[in-house]
Amino acid sequence: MNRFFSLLKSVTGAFLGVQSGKQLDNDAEEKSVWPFVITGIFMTVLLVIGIAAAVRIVLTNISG
Amino acid sequence: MDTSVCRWLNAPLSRLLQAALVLSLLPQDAAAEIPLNMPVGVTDISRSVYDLHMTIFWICVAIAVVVFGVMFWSIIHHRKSKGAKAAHFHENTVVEIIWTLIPMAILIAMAIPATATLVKMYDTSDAEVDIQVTGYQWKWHYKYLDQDVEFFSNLSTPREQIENTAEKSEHYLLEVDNALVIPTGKKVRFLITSNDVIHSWWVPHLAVKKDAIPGFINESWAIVNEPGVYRGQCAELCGKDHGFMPIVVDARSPEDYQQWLLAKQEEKEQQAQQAAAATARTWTHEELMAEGEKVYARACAACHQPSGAGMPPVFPSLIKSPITTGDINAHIDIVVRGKPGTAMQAFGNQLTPAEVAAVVTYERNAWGNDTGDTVTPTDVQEHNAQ
Repeated sequence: MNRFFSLLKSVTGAFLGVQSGKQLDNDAEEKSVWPFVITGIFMTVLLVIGIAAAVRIVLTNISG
Repeated sequence: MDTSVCRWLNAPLSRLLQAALVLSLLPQDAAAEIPLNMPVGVTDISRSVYDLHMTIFWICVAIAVVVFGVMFWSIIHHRKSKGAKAAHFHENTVVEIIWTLIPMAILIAMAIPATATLVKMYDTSDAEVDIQVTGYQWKWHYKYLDQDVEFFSNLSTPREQIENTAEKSEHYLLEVDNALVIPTGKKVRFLITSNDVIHSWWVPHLAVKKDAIPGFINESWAIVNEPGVYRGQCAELCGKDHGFMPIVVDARSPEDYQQWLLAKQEEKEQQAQQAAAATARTWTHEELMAEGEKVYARACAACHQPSGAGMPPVFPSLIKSPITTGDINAHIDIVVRGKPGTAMQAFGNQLTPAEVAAVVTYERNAWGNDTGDTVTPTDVQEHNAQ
């Protein structure tokens, strides 16, 4: 679980463009790139769904 | 600092400060009177666009004042001569998150009113008047759907003014022969498309700016509150005469609009009758030449030039060219149907058979072409029937 949160933190940091050196060292411990790729894709899907939902809510509330 | 320098600096500085003070005390609307700013316009949408623009402008000003304020204060306060020592650290996650989240919050705060206005702008439903706007190189065509009224709107600024041999008029390059007339207080929908290349129909006072794209129809709308004449231009570089295809919108009261519409419908019938009569009557060679010269100046000279020499290779010369001295039918055909893939548009729906006959006769005999050919309206009609 700790590892998942650490991945999530890294990917969120990448999304915002803000990363700490400590987190970077932490990430370097990881043996494979795939956990980052998968978490990245997962977060991207979440972001797209989030934006689509926001647009839908706004449109139904304004023009509805 | 030397006192004389101080005095020299202070005079313009205090004047500048006074000017800034006066400007900042003006009510917001006064900013629209400064010609550099965008107009407030004459529709509710244009007003909210203007308000959005000013709100965001002042947000930007506030950000600039804070950011540059801190920057200059730091530069001066922590200067080396005061013994400041540079801090050596690599990162500060908290500060970085703050300077990421604050702009994000500002952007979202700006997006909320902007989205509300955009949604209104895109709502083209329940329009009372529908007008199809078609861009041509280089004029606009307006068609009042279901009203049987359509016409071209050409630049009406005289050539002498463009060539600097006459005084420029008040609405230089912003005047047309047939203005787009719309009723006030009614929702008018514009269906915008193009016949050749991409144009853009832009009337700042209506806050309407939509690309006119061949094969696509873009929609926009306006409810003009006050009668008046509002001017605009093509806003997408569309070739040689891009700057010579203005837009004039004439907003009239619904009663005046209705009268105009009736007059326009009558005028159309008369024109059809006149065109039929012109086709039926017999023309002499001289009459065709005289009429042809007029038609040429109006429809052809922009590209092929008044001298007939064109601007090769895009606009070919008509002097001793294979078209103007060769087969008559091929000549009529290129005028009526245009030439796909080139700037030569089809004039079949813009000129009457008599006008085509006149201009073809003119082109075959002007500028030393001297073929001696006479093309009659009947020839053109027969060609069109093929």
